[in-house]
Amino acid sequence: MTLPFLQFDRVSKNFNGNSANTLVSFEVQQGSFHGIVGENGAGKSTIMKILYGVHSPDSGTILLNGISTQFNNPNQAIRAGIGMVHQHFKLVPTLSVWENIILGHEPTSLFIPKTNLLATIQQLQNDFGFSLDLEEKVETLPVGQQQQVEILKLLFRKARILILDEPTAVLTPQESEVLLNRLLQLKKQQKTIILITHKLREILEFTDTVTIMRQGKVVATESTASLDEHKLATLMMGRDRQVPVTSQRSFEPQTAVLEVSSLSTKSRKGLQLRNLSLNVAAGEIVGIAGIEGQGQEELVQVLTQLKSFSGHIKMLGEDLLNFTAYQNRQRGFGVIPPDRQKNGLILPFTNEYNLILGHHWEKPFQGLGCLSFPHIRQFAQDQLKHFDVRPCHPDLSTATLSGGNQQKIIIAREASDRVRFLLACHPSRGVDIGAMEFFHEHFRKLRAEGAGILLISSDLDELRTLSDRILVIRNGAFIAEKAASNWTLPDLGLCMTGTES
Amino acid sequence: MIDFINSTLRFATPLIFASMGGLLCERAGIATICIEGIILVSAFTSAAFDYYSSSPWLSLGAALLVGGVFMLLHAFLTVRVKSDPIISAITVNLLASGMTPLLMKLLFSNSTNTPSLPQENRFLPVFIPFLSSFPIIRHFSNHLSLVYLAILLPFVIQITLTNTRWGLRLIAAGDGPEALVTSGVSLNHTRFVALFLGGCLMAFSGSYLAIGHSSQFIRDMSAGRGFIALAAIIIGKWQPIPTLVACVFFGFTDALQIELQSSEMLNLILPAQFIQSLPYVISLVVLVFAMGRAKPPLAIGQTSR
Repeated sequence: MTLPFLQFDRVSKNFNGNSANTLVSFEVQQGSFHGIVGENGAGKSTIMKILYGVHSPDSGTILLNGISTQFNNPNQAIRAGIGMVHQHFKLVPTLSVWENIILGHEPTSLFIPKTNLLATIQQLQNDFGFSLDLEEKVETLPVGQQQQVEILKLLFRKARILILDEPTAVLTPQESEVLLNRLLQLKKQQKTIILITHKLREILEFTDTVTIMRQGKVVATESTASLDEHKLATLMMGRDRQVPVTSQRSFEPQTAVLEVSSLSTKSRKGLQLRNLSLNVAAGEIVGIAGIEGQGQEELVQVLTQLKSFSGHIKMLGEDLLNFTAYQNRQRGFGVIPPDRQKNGLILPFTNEYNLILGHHWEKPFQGLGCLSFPHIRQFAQDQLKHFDVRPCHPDLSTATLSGGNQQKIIIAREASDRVRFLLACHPSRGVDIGAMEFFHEHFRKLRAEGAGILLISSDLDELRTLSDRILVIRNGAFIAEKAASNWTLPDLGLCMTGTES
Repeated sequence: MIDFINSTLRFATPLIFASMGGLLCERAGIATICIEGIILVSAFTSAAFDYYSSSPWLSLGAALLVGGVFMLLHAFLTVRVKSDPIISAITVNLLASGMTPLLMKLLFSNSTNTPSLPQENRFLPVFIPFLSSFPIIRHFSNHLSLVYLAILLPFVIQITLTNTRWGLRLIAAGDGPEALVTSGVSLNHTRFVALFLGGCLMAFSGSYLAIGHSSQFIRDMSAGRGFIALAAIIIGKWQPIPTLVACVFFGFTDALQIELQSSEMLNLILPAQFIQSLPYVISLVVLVFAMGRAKPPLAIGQTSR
């Protein structure tokens, strides 16, 4: 038997008394594509950060080529040939692609030998099948290509092990496909790939071996060939996962909560919305599918009154512009924004404040112009418990929560019982299956109670599972509409990418 | 006309040094509104040092050191202790404007100005024979050496920023500090060096004012030039060459102001104070119109972590 290339031996790590990793042991073979899968907070990222020298383990050892290794900082890890692509890219947006690649690893000559370096990097691109324009500024690149810059940066540093933390969370389905195939290419060239994800499909289609983690512990390390989706989900969740059901409407839709007719926007640069018409009825979920950047963001801006438009929009039976954004919220309009950290939360605020944000001026949260702390606390505790936010502390800063739990706070606030029209953008982006199912169940419950939901998502499974009707948006216009059950996955994909309309 | 252009260059010189120093600091990601304070301490240092040593070049060296060290104070407060850069810079400015009269009082028993220096102890115009052989340029070949240096400086900085690894790291420190750290470069080190060198460049400005442009240090003699330099950086969108253009423009308004003051006709109609305020009014107006499109380094305004 060959010596394992990388071996974790009973590694444990505690943060402030909460154990993030308990006796984690598994092996990764050289030149393999190894997946690490688990729910949010299962300890996947922590164990990789220990390997990468970001955290130091409380106990246990990591063996690289049979030699006990501990890195004190990422530099040492990089020097030992380990590279990590973080979920949030660490690039300098104003510098060009090649400058980002060499940053921190420049030759020591007085002037940077640009021509030589360009040739070196181009050679690297050819070897590994990349085709980036090296002179382009990083800020102008789409996310998928920025990720390629990150990978090239690691290859330039001669990394032998590439760790990717949820790389597809920010990518469109097409970009994800490109990335994963590229990783397969790298594997063929003797690189070892470690992929952290919670998307089962990626694990099953691309990895050789997989380590399943739950609550900081390794549940199993298996060869992928011996697993199927059902088995993997069971191991990951610790219980049987419900197979997605195509939705069934409990009653016929009634009055419209959103009526949009001939909506257009003008803008000097960027995308224009062109003559959109759309109805969402009470008790209905309408999905909008599309590749990112086809006008979804502009539509959200119009509905939340951040962008001017021409055409007519009636929300909850009244002209949208008859009310201010604040008044519309009070009338029962809820928004789950596309970027939860930027637009949905004030991260340094405590959970209880984030839970009442925008409603803080309503009774019983305020009385006589002052915040009423006992009521807020009581409300927050109820909501945190109801939505299963972990850890369940009202006075904890929201910044300390994981992405999925942050999203739960937004949903608790925006999709409460009294919401009558909900605009939900990418509600389960970057959250684990457990939370996603919880959200879906919650949306179905809202629908049953007579709320109308407009769902914008890039997750086609989510759209097909939840929606009654799906519209496809491309280049600022709706190009197709069908009942959700009449869309097949390939149809939808083709329609979105524009190979067929 | 030739006099007017020469006068413009003379007025622009201190602004160019000051803004190039500020530009380095800001590009490294630290808001630096303490250029004014650095000009003051370095101007005072030059004048006082020159009084005792009678050597302008040694005095310049001393001023560079003091300017750099003062910026290290700003660096220590913002980079190391991670305090707010605006608060820190105000501290430096107040310290400078309070300390200089005190030291003058202690050294020269006079809290408003240092003793006047004899002509031979100041920077003297350098005649450049090479330039004088050209037909038009020869009229501009009789300046202080610092003036020539100032005009070259932005080009040197431009090349440094775009073609050296130090420049690359400096830009990364300003536009993507996290990227710099994950690339294995010390962010603190990069910023400390940038701020020290930035302070040195600002000190050229102070030295020029005290022992080149005039012959003594006068209390608060920087007269807002540090802030005009800051305005030039913003108008120049944090790019060396456009910033140079902005500095020359402000130098031009200064020269214009002097020119107008000497015109007796105008003095009868307009009070002198109005004309004197002209450079400041113009900078305000230009700033208002340029501000909308300015794009500062990304790390500026974020509290460093």
